[in-house]
Amino acid sequence: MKDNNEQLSTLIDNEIIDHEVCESQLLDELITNKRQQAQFSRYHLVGDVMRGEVVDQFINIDISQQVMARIEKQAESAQVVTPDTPVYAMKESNNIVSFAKRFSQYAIAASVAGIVVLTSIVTSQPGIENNEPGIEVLNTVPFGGAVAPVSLQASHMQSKQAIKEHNERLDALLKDHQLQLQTQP
Amino acid sequence: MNERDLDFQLIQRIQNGEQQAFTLLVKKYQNRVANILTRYVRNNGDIADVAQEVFIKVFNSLPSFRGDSAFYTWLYRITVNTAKNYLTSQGRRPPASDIDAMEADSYDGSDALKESDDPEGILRSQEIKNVILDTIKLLPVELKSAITLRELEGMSYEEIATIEDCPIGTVRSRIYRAREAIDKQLKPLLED
Amino acid sequence: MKLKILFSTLIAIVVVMTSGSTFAIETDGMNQASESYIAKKETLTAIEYLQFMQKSYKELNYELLYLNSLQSQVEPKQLIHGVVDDQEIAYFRFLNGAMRESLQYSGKISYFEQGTQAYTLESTLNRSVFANIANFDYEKGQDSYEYIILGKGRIAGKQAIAIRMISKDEYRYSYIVWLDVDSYLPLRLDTLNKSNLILDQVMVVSLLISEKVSPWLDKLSKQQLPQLLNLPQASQKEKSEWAINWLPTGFNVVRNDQHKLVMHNNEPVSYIMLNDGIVSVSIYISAKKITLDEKQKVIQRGATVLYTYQKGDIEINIIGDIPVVTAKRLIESISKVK
Repeated sequence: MKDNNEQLSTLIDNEIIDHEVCESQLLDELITNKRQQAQFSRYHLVGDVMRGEVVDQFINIDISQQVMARIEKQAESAQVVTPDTPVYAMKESNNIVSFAKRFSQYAIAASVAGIVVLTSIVTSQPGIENNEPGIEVLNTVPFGGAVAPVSLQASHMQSKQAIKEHNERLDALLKDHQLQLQTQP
Repeated sequence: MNERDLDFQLIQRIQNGEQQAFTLLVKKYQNRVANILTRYVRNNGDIADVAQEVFIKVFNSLPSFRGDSAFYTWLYRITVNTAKNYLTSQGRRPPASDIDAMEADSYDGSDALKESDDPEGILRSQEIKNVILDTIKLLPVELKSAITLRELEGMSYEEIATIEDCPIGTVRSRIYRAREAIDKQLKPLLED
Repeated sequence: MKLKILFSTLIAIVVVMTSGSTFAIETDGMNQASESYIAKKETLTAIEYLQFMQKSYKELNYELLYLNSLQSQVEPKQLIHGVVDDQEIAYFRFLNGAMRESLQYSGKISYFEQGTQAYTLESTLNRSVFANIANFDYEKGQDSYEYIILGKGRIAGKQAIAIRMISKDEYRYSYIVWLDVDSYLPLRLDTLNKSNLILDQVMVVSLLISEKVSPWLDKLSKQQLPQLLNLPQASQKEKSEWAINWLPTGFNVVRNDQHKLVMHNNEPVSYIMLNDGIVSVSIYISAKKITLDEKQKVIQRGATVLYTYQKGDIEINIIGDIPVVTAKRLIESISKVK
């Protein structure tokens, strides 16, 4: 028993040497043996307390069981839709919903970043190429140039809420544009 | 990531379908995740729930984790993002940047007790912490030094062996003996 | 001797073209050796250089570290390209900040970002940094651009040759492409407006070419990809109800549909995409939601323009790397299909 704990202590420090003992056997044991898992948790708790990486209200709580239960539940519900069942319509709509969630800022970072439109302080100056009145040109800073920031709200009568909504829509258009580029024929 | 790294081995097993291995990652990191969350989640009662969210997200994203950065770095990022989403869902603005959050330790545990807190639980936690820290204080100096270099400085056995001028096998045994000494006091406290 | 004078003149032009940028041209590099080197390759014309560049960009195994400068922001990035089983494979990542990576291989592109779930899209078109100039049909492109060899310089420690693609009218931007004289790989790309201001710049700082494909790419090519996501296709069979009655030379309509903005409450839009082989332009026509103070609004960032125009209860938005004047003329030419 004692030996076993020493191996566990070495294992959590990533210091098991291959020829000494078969590491995967140790892991097999650890994954199935509740007593060893409790030991594993306590060894880690010691380190966490020493480093001050603990929360008073949480020390006593172990969420691993709840997490594993949720993972299993999630796997069961995923298995309900097997690839063979003809539920394409449903699958596609699921796909779309998750897509909207997943489509990341990063994908658009390569082009106009949505953030530029969304920040409330927008730089403004007369257009470089287009000086016609009635056209508001935002952020036309040439490479390396600089202008003083001017608040969009300050210079126009438009309500804050309307501008926010409009900008959100522009942001969505930019993302869609990027998406169309990515899937261009 | 090192092939010998425990996290790496566990992740490989999970990626190969051995779901149970994830329990160990949760057990290993849950305290650290909870600790990061306190910088964002002010209501301590919610920490366990948000922490669960974090680990579910981690599990679902694992298929795409390729191990070219440390698992903890990746986990940290997910934790911070989940915390920010939580704040947004609560109608609060997240801190402007991660740096702010990291420096916001000032309101960490020093907050006054809130009504929702469980004073008994906190007392118990204090007891656990005290037992661990007091036992370390009383350890023979070579054991104390070995476990401190390992846990606080994150040194490898080899590095500790160089500093302490002793064989690696000795370092391994000292760290184990230190842990066992602490565990002897800690185990009864957690089991009842 | 004459040749030398000619080159000095060319270099002077280059210096003028790029003044304002922090980039230095190597003017004293015109020693005997490099002069004879040019003489050897002198037979190549500008278009031949560009076509060799296309071939190299597709066929070689290489790694590029490059900077993308947009306004005052500089973003370092990495591209590793190779050929595995006769197929191109490209791995891309941001070098600073959160991990953001992509992998393009065999008709699919996958995106990985720290903290969000990875996903895959079907995408046959190369999306990497110099892809637009590497995919361009330069033969056909002569209708819209003139190609001129500008001169020589040094970029990322390599002898480089600069070729200017000058737009023949005001409806598209011009470019300066710098190529590695040895491998013909692109080293720098400047996007210029008609006043020769640099709007956008990509500059390679390190180029490594290898005989064999990078082991990392080889490993990635065998990796299982994240879940493939389909775009909402439902309404794409229907054409938009709008027609563009004017197109700049070289541009074609490549998409014409009605779809929903998945990122914005599934709002329906009529959509038209234009492409000239270098840039793509999106045109959105939709019901007006919020009335703006001004009928027209322009947002520019680097070379990209977002032009909003409201008329009656209709709102038109144009997004793409084109001059404002082009967006304006496109909007004027839009009419409803009877």
